[in-house]
Amino acid sequence: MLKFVGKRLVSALFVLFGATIITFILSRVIPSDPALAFYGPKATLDQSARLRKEMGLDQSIVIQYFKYLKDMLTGNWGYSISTKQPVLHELMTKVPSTLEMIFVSIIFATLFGILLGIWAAKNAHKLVDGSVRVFSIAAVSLPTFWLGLLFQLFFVGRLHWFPATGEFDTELKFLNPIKHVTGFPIFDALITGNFHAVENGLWHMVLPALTLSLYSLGLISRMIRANLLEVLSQDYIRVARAYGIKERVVLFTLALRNALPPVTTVVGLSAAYLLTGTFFVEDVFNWPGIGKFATTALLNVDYPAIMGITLLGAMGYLTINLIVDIVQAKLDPRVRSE
Amino acid sequence: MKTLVEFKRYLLRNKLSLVGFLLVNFILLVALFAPWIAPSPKEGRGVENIDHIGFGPGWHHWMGTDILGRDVLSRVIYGARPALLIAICVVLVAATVGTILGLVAGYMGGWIDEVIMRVCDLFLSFPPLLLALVAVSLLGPGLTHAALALVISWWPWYARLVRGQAQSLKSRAFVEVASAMGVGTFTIVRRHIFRNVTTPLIIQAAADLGTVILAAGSLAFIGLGAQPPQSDWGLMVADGRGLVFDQWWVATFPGLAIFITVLGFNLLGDGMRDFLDPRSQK
Amino acid sequence: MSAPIIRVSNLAVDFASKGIVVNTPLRGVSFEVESGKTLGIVGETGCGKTLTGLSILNLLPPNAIRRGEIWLDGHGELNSQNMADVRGVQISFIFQNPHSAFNPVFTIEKQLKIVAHRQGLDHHQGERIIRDRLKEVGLDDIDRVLTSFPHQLSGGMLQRCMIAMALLGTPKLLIADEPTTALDSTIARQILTLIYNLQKQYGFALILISHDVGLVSDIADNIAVLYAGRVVETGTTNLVLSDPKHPYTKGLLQAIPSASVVRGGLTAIPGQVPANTLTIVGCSFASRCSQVQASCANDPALKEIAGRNVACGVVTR
Repeated sequence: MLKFVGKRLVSALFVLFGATIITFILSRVIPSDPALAFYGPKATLDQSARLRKEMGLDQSIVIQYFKYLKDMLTGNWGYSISTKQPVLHELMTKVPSTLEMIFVSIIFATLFGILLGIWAAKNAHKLVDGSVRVFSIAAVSLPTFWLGLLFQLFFVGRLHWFPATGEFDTELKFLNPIKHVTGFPIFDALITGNFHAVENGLWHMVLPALTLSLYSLGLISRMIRANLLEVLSQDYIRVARAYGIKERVVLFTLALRNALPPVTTVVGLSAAYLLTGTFFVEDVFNWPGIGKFATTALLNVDYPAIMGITLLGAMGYLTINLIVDIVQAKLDPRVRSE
Repeated sequence: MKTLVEFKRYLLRNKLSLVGFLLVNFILLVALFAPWIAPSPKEGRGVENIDHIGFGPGWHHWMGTDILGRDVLSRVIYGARPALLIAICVVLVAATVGTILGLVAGYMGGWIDEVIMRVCDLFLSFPPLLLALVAVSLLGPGLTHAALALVISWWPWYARLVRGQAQSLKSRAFVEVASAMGVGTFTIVRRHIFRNVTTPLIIQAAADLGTVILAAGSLAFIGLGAQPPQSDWGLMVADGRGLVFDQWWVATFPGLAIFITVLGFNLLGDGMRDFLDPRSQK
Repeated sequence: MSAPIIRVSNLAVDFASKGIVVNTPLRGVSFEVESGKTLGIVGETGCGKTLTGLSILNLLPPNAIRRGEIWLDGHGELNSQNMADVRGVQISFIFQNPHSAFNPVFTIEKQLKIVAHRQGLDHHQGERIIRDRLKEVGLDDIDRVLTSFPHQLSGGMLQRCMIAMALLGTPKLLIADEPTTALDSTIARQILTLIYNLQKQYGFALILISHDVGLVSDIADNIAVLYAGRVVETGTTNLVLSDPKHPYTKGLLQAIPSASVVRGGLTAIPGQVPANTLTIVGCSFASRCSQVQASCANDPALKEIAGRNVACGVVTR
């Protein structure tokens, strides 16, 4: 198992190395004059030349790349053009809020996706099955940004059940400020016993997390249904029934365990969709995370920030794939011994 | 390949696929005949009408009017055009580029295969859509750039799919026989390999059409896709987001149009997969 | 002669689609098996052998409807209520492909334990019996076998594990559906011998289902030849194989390379088993039979000819 993880880790590092090539090309080739981007159109020739020298742009492309790689490894990810802050610092302060939302969404989507999938498979080719199928196709057809607006319109505008935007009420900062421990706001509130903040944060979380998770919910429930039906038609299920094993054990222990490994792939894929999905959800719900930062950076062509986000995105994606590989190997002995 | 007659029979038996088929055709017709259907073609093209600002849905404006007094229905009808155009163009170009590279990689093998597939891996090492977002940001916003950006992030999927198929077909008996008989490489690839990858290719393309519309809508929503005053669904939702509590119709109807169109494509794509690859039905 | 353990009468299976019967692959099969005896069920692919085995335990797909009666010693008529008590306890099943019969994601130990638990054995009893049975089926390195996943074992070893699983209870009847077909011929011979010896030891009745008449003839006391969902000839193995009466049985024996009973070279039976029995009019074998006559338009019933039962309208002695 350790050897397996090690092998996957090495190959992930290789891919990450490749990803830096893409971000490097994007950062050096597309903006023709970084000085122009940094100082704006009023940059003087002198400023431009100095900056080019400072950034090492007068050197060969290979040397530039290695310099870029060194910068990335030493945490020197440049300065955001719009906020003038170090990009890495900006990203690190915003990642926790986004991760908390992704975490809640993926848990919700996986849990309910599995339940829906089982329910559909148990009632295969009946009305329930058809309804779940329609629901899951509809779920992957919904534009996330529009769904968020609809939720706001209905649950906030009409029913006044949830707050419209933000991560916490603004008063919370003064009444129950969250102590900084790990940087994850709700988690920090939880471990410091600030339950008022936990409740407030979760309350704000409901609509964006629901919006974000619906796509994954659709994907996962369909995958579970298909896999479960496939598994239920296998010989070993017939054997279990021939030996009088209870239907509950057959379904939840024997069959589900076989249907899960391929589902981890889909959960991983959904998590990857969530990474970019947060861009739109955070935009709609004014969530102070990476997504909000990213959409602003993309609109302002804040390319040091964009490169940072891209690289971070690749890291996140690779981490997800790595986790999927490991979980799959844990669940399926055949993968492990490959 | 199965025939159209069989597909018709399949549609009649599978109600959901039939709904998808009808929805897609409906949207196609709307896009095609927009100038004749739209109550106000001028407003549908984006010309403002400041006397009609903020009208709710009613007899004269079924879907109300937007911040510049334009009839939302007319704009939704015109919005079908960029949506379908971008979906078809992106899928067509991405599939073509991907297929050519995939065929070359799969059939040639060796270092060519290695190079093409490693480049694919590089593109696929980013979360879906991220590369497209970055590309369109650097290229500058606009419908054409959005399409280009989507092609950039989409072709590797096709290349990978076709390459896998081509590689497994290459070692199959009928290809080896043709090769031994001295049939030219180009003919083998065209006649034996390409023809056998069309089914998975069609399944993939049908599934992607809806996803591309969603992606293009997302780009437009954050301001990186179609630009005002063009009537684009994603853009129109963005226009209406600020007043979602006061004038709900401005954002609701264009978003609904995206949803229905994508739903249509997804239902149809799902049906196509079942039809062309019955094993997946289980 | 002891009393029969199981008596199957007029067992039939319908396949239905949307409430309409679309095929009847099994059309009234009757037989009985005595304690310690072996019944071989033979026939070509698609004649209903496997369905016969599965329908005894009601393991049919959801679109299948079972008709007829199955009586089990000590349980009476088997129905959906008492079926749960019988499965795996009174009647055990051995499947054709050992590789697909074991769940790929659990160890052999876990899978055997689930069945042992179902027999009402506690943890320690279960562990002891599992080890005993694995030893009895001729496995050496039991610790390794127990901790292995199915893909790590050979087909022969897995089939031995399957037999061990079948004997975790105290079955009165063992149904073995093509137990050796997926194995090498040398291993197949060992597995068959093993089943034979275990039968002598435990005294269960055995239903051996196979397309291989040669194999069945080695250990079966009685034989039933199935064709298109019906028994066409049944009697003691010796009698049926040394002097087959039904033209189909004759054809089947001539098609076996190793059968020494019939001279005159290897001949295949022309044609195929009818795919759908609903299309059959009269004798189901008529379209492939060399002795076909006008009377074959009537559906023949089983009747006693020369010491065994034959369903043929032409053969009289």
